Amino acid sequence: MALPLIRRAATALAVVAALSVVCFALLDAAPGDPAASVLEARNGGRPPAAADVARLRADMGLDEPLPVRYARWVSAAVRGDLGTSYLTGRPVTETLAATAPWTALLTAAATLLSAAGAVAVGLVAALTRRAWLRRAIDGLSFVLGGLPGFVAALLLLYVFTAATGLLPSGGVGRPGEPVTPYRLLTHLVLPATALAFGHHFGIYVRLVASGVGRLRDAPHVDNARARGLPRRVVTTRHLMRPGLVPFTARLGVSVGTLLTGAYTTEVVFSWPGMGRQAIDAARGQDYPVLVAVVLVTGLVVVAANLAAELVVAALDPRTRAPGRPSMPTDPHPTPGETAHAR
Amino acid sequence: MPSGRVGAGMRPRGLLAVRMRPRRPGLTAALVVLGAMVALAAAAPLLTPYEPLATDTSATSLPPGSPGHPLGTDMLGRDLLSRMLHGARTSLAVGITAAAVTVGAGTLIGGLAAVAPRWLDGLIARTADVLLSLPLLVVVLALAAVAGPSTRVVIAGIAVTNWMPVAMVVRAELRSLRERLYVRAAYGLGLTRRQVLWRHLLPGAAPPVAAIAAFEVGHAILTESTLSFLGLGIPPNQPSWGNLLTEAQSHLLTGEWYTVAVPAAAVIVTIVAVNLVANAVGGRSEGRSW
Repeated sequence: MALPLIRRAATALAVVAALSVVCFALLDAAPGDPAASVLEARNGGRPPAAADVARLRADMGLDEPLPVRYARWVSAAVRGDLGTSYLTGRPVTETLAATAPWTALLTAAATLLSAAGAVAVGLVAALTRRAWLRRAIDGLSFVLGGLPGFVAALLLLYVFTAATGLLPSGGVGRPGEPVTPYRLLTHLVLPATALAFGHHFGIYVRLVASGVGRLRDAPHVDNARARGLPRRVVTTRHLMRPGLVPFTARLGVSVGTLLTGAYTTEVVFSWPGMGRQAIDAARGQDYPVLVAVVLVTGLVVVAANLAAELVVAALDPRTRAPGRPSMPTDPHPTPGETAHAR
Repeated sequence: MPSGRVGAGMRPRGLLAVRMRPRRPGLTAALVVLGAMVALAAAAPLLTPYEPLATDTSATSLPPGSPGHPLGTDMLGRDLLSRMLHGARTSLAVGITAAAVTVGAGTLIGGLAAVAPRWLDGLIARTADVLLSLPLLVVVLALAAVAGPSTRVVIAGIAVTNWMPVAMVVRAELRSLRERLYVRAAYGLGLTRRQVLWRHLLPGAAPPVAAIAAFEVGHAILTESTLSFLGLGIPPNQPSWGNLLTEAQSHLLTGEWYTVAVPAAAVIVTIVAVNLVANAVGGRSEGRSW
């Protein structure tokens, strides 16, 4: 167990290093003078004096050679300093701290919904003897595969807000009103649903259905049934526990999918999260905020992938055996499916 | 893996003939839909008398079915049918171009990895691994934000973040084909490396690459529409399905649902049809995934 673990951790570190290079490159290549932008934001929009800009440039180390700038940026980022917003003049970390919890809430709710829905629908598809039902689920998951997240969000917004007025259109409540759990829930339902049942949902259903479906007539399941175990026990212990391993592995990747999807969902529903912040920053050319969100998203994704691998290793003894290839997460990998999941 | 299917007395008629079995209504429908889309997009200037950008203050916010404006007009009096058709031009062209660039780059890199020395092969594989672990749509988004909205940036962004699956498949295919008896026989018969590459290796690797290429078209359309919807893709003055959806978003709550429904339906139908074709080219019948 130790050696594969070290290898996985090393891969994760390499990904983090690549991520830091990408983020720094974006920041460094962004148009405009960072020092001038920061000073302008702090002065409330007045163009700063040339001498001040020059002083801050020296302070920020902007005139140093590229490797030095990169090293400075990394060491500052590690200490929690991600720069200053060009729009507000405040530290980027403050913005992140204000928005990240909302994104975490939305993503967590969507992950729960998505996983519960996929397991339920996938189990039905795998265990039913009705061909039409299976085909209907298959068709539905295929159509969902062509549904961009923001289109799903717009459709839900129309049906539940514009046409029927059942649910609020966005945000997390009226300004000035206290955020009660009930009010929060009513505001959370639509974005979480839109995020949960986007184009990745069909892939999850397929993973559950194929993972469990292959075991439906497996010897150990027949044996369990023959021993007279209750159906519920056979389903949960003998079908779901081994059959859901590929799906569990995929759930780690899904965190990245959902975090990415949260960008558009948050924009459509005016959800005050990181994603909307990033898009606002992109539109307002507030590059430090944008890059910080990219960095945080990337770090969370890397952590989630690593965690999923560890969970799978705990669930599936075969992946722990030394020298043997780890179990494929998807028995029928289709290139486009992985492409879309990203 | 793919050539196993070719055996059993079946002679492939053309590149994809092997993989497309007859009488598949889903595939036929998908091809018809895509063909119609492409034809409509190509013939856009002939089909509608209106310029997609021409405003008409005497005919604003018309509902669908209005005389002269089958899909209605938007707040500025621009004809929605014309905007849809010209949007199809942009979206399909960007999708196909981006997929072509992606597949081209992936094939080159994968081919290079297949013949490269160990260290270079390893470097390419590691790079692909690392890139696949990043949230790529977010990276493309940041890239587009830094570079400014433009069609070229969208295409480049899609290619930079999607070449990996193509490269990995091409590399694996070439490596496995290279050891096949008929390829070694071709070398034995005195064919040059270039001849073997063009006559045996590339045609052999084409079917799986074609499947990925089809998926990449769908993925590219999806990415383009998402980027444009966020205002970071195709410049906003140029109609594309994503841009139409951005503008329509504000009309949703005022009841003009069709401004959203039409481009949304176009995006969904196109991607589903492309995925159907990709599934068929990939040789796995849809509906039989478990």
